[in-house]
Amino acid sequence: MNTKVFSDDEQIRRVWDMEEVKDLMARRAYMYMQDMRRQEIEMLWVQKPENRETAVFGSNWGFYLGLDNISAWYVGEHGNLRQKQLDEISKNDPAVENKPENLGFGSAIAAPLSTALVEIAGDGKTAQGLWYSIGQRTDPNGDGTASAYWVCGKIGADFMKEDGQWKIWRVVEAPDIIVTPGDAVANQSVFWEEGANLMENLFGTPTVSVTAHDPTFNWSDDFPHAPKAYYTYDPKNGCCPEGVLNDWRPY
Amino acid sequence: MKTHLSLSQRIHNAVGSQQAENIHARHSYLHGKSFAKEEWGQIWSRSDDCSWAHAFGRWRGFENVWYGSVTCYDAACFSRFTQIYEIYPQVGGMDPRPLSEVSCHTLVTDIIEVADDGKTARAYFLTPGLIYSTLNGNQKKRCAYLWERYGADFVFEDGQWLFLHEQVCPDIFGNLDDGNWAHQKYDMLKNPPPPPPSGAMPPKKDQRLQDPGPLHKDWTPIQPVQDTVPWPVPYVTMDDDNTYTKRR
Repeated sequence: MNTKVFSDDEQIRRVWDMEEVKDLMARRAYMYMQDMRRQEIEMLWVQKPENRETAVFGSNWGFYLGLDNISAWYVGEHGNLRQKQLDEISKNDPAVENKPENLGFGSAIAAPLSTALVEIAGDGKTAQGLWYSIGQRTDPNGDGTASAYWVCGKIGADFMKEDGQWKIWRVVEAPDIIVTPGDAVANQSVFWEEGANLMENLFGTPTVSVTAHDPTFNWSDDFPHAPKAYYTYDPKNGCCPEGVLNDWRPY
Repeated sequence: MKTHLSLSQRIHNAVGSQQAENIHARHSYLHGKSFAKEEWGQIWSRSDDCSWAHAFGRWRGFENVWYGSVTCYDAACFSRFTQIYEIYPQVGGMDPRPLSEVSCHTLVTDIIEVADDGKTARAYFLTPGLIYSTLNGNQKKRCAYLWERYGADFVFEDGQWLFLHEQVCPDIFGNLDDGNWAHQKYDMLKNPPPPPPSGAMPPKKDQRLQDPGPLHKDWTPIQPVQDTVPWPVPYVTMDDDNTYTKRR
């Protein structure tokens, strides 16, 4: 973005906006790690009815549309998984009490953010960002053991200002690498076998099923996009179904 | 606080600091797609002063940087494509470049300084990255970790910030996730690979290097700690004391 088109007052506002957007995503990463998913939705995501309706959560296999659908999966189904894990742990080890405070017992997940690329819209109403995460996911097996995975991929997000506050509007998590620590990626089959992809299984049944990112072809699909300087939000460049590109694949 | 600068100058430099992060991140995502033409065509200064360096040496001047970073890089991508198209015919018609690999050099721990004169910026990054590709000639997935350091200089030209100098310093490399760089390096020292045949030509990309390497060495257990790209310190204007490419 040519810095000379903005006045000093506008420019310092934009500098501050960029830091707030990065801070917002860092807070999301913190809450994701702490399993504070309900609080994340309530505190960090858009809340105005018209924005809730157009909120999106996407991954390689499709998109949840609308904050209610996002919450049903991101909070509800995840909560069910945690309860199922705790049921199993408590059954095998009565010393672990089956109570809400113990949800998440034996788990550890983190998606640290690196490589921030953030663009604030020229009109100042929206922002777009892209990060890369070398993360991990560890889930209890219920018998005192756990299963661990490296989960690495791009995380894209669109943001919107509500009453002067930046809020998360749309997120796409696009894992490329999913591998058990100590196992070589080279030993995985080239194409995922049906039901073998942990992150696909966890993504549930999205509102729109579509291949948004296929790491078989590395980053050929360019999704989620690296945001470019822009004046006003265009969903064709967004973290949403309209942003999925297909022209890289001939047929 | 740089209170000797006007508020307007400080705002300009704050933007410069953010743009140094953004431009380097844009490099990471373009390079991850092997979009060399787009990277060097869009986010680099075309001045004779620009340079790009790796352990093997440094290219100086935009024409030489382009040859090494675009011409030769594209050739390597197309070469890899010729190794996979018969095994995976579904790649037909796709851009061969991103099919080559994802060189994902993530950026963390940046230390950035913008010159008091507002004309240049300097940045140091660590990059704990990954290099991977799914479709390969040996019909196996490929994924490695690669940790490097970057020293990067940026220049403000015609109202926008652009890359001017880049120096890449690779430190450790190995297979994800069963590699152990300490064991691998020890084994290499104990059983060094045979030297290249006598009279062998250097790799084509090295033929135009203005500063032949090595400029930095991969980590081994028998060398001191290197400080090839020291962090930038506050500076007034870019000169030979404040640059990742000194003039010759």
